[in-house]
Amino acid sequence: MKIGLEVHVYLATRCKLFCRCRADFLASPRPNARICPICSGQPGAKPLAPNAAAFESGVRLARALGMDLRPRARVMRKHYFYPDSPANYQRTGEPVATGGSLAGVPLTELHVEEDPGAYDAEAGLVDYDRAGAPLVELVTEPAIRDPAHARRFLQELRLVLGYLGVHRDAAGLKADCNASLAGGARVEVKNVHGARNVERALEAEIARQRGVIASGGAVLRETRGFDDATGRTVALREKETEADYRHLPDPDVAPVDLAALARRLAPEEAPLARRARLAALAGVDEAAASVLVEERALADAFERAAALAPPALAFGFVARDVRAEIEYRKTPLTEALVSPEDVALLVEALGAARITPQVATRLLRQGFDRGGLAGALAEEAGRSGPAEGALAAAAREAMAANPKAVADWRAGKATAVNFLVGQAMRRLAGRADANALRAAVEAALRESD
Amino acid sequence: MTHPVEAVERALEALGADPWNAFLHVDAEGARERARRVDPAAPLAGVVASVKDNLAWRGHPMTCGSRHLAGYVAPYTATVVARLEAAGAVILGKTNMDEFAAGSSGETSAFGPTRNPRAPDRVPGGSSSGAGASVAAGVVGLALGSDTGGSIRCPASFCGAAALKPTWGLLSRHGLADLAMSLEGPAPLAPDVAGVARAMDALSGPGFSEALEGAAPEGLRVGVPREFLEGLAPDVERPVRDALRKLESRGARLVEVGLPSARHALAAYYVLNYAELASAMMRYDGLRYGEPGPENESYEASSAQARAAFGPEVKRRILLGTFVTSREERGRWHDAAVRARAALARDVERALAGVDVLAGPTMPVRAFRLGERVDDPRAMYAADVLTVLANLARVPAGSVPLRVEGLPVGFQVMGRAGEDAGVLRAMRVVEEVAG
Repeated sequence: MKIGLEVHVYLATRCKLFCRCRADFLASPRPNARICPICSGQPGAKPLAPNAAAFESGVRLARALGMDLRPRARVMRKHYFYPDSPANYQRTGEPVATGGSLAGVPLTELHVEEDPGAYDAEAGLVDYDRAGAPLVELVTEPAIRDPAHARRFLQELRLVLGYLGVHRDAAGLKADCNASLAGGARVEVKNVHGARNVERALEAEIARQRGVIASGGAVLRETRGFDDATGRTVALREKETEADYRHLPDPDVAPVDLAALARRLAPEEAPLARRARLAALAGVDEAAASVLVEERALADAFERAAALAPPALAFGFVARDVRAEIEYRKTPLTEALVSPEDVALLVEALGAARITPQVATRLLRQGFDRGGLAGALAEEAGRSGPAEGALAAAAREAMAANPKAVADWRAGKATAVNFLVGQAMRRLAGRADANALRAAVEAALRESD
Repeated sequence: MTHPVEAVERALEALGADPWNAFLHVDAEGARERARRVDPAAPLAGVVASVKDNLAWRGHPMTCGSRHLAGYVAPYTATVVARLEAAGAVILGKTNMDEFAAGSSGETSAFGPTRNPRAPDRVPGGSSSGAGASVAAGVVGLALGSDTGGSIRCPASFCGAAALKPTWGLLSRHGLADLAMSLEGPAPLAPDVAGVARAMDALSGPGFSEALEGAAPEGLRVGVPREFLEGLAPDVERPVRDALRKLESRGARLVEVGLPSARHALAAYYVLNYAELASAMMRYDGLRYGEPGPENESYEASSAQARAAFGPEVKRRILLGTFVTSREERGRWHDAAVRARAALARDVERALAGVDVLAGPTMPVRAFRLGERVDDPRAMYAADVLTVLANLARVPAGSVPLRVEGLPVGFQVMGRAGEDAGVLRAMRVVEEVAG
């Protein structure tokens, strides 16, 4: 059995790929409300330079998946006649990166491309609101073991995307699923939405192919669709020969300098590597630690809290209490009125037994409702923090007692700060404002550097 | 300066019933209205201009000389058109052209050929046929056209006007309907070099008119590619050699140079033109533009019917362009043309290394008769042999009329990429010495 996926991910950029129209087609008030001469393909309308934010997202995702970056990508025209396409060619970038793997699946390549419009064949109507919206297409090798593996692959991908914050979550993941059995031709099930449906579509398609072979028939090369109401794949068109898209470099678009773009991006820890590190820190397995990397802010909240309080306590509070608030409010932590620093502070107070778990939960909810968590916590504890001079002194003491952490920081390991903040906090008996103490440690480090 | 309102009235009077078929759309009332609002201090105040019908002008028809776009009204304005208007020019209307600029004589327009005002039985040159005719007929003082492989220089040569094909990318192409995107760009045509320079000041930025001041032949180093003087009609070769002699006698230094890969230029040019045109024409499937097929038919059948409305030259290029980029054929045709283009660009750079400009004729012949070549594409293409080089090499090239008896002859000047002002300055020298 051979299974491979081509996954399409809508990128959460503000603008479309080649014009300034808003890319958030889901929020469009009516069909064709977010179009301009460029994305509707008017004669003579020229694309703007490719939206750098879209290619940055592509580069960050490629890095997160351990792929090898290419130095540049040309933008190609892929020609085919279809009513959803404003110009009957799709602008599609050459690979941003190749190689790498995810969930044990080797990756072929990742590229950025524009979405065509939406065609309603029944009504004969076309909506170009999504035409030109940036997509990332991620292609795997045909090395997925079974339909459940395909689902796990997509769940991991969704985790990585969520952590990086690069995709338009509401638009979901769409995959073209390729499956073949020994002796049969490759069949493509197009445009399946979501991890669970991909698993179902592959199960149904493989069962269908087994049936064909068992009854003495031959599995033909074709393109099928998935009907999620019946749970079956249905024939769309036979694809006996490979279509010739006559790819040409678009004369209107300069190649994208990926190397320069990558140099501008700050280096960041790959989300799944961070999950492994945080799992070890929290003393849980990676599957349990997955919740910490659903969002980068959650991982930050946990890591800061774990520097100020027992990691197991920090994990429980972030994975259970904080996540419950996020789920309940359907608002990511990044957009909430509570910051990772606030969470760390709360966990620290809880660890030092200055507040009870009930109070911690109440303060957290209040924070999510109306902000001002740090102030509320200080009030709850009934006192203000130590003076600034005391913070600086504690920071210097912590540094003097932990030369290795200081050396790590100098060697570029930014997370060493968290440890030093924790040590300084301990010297202050946990009474300092975590943000202020962090600033004091950072200042002391810079001073000593 | 003629007052803009009066200039528009004079232009309309000169246009009359347009016996040359130079215009596809005349906006007389709109022009009168816009003329009243022109700031008299604007740099192009008093200039009435025409715009080729492949440039978008919001609220006005844009047919590209094709039936397929009959009835299409541009929903936006090309950057270059907006710049002309911002500089105070009043646009009178849209000019006739070969269908989608695929032609060198103006005869492939779906709305009938344009006639040469200098000789009504002759072609005005193409594809910017109406641009050349509208200036030569004395209707407008400035025509905005485009040049893909000579489309502004050929009409300038055949109609006796001055024109510049700027360095590729110097002028915005936003709003210029696609033919062959890597080769083409907007291009101005005017009665004289000073008019072209004024237009460039508005279209690109100041400095072009200034560059004409004190232009003199003394010390000008003129490279003459020997390939440019081969295979010319005698009535073109004589005045061009005369002009070169005059330049030399007035102190210019002539240097013979070679462009060995020039013999591949025409083949490379047309293969790339076909390939890019076939891509550009994909959007015309009858769904958004053109006459769709009957309802309830398939998309394929309907778009096939809509595309049947293209003229024979556009169809020929779509077919050939699809062929030369197909998986089986692209290596032999398209990729070979890309390599030839690179070699040619190096040749042009080398030829320009020790000189200020390259010079020679614009067209190998004078304006031919209507109908004389239109059924023989190879004869038609052959006329472009001298102009396509600049497009392939992306360098600036202009045409300036020589003083001759009978039908006009254009003298071509080519320069280094980005040295458009230097080309205009050399054109001014030729105009003074031999124009």
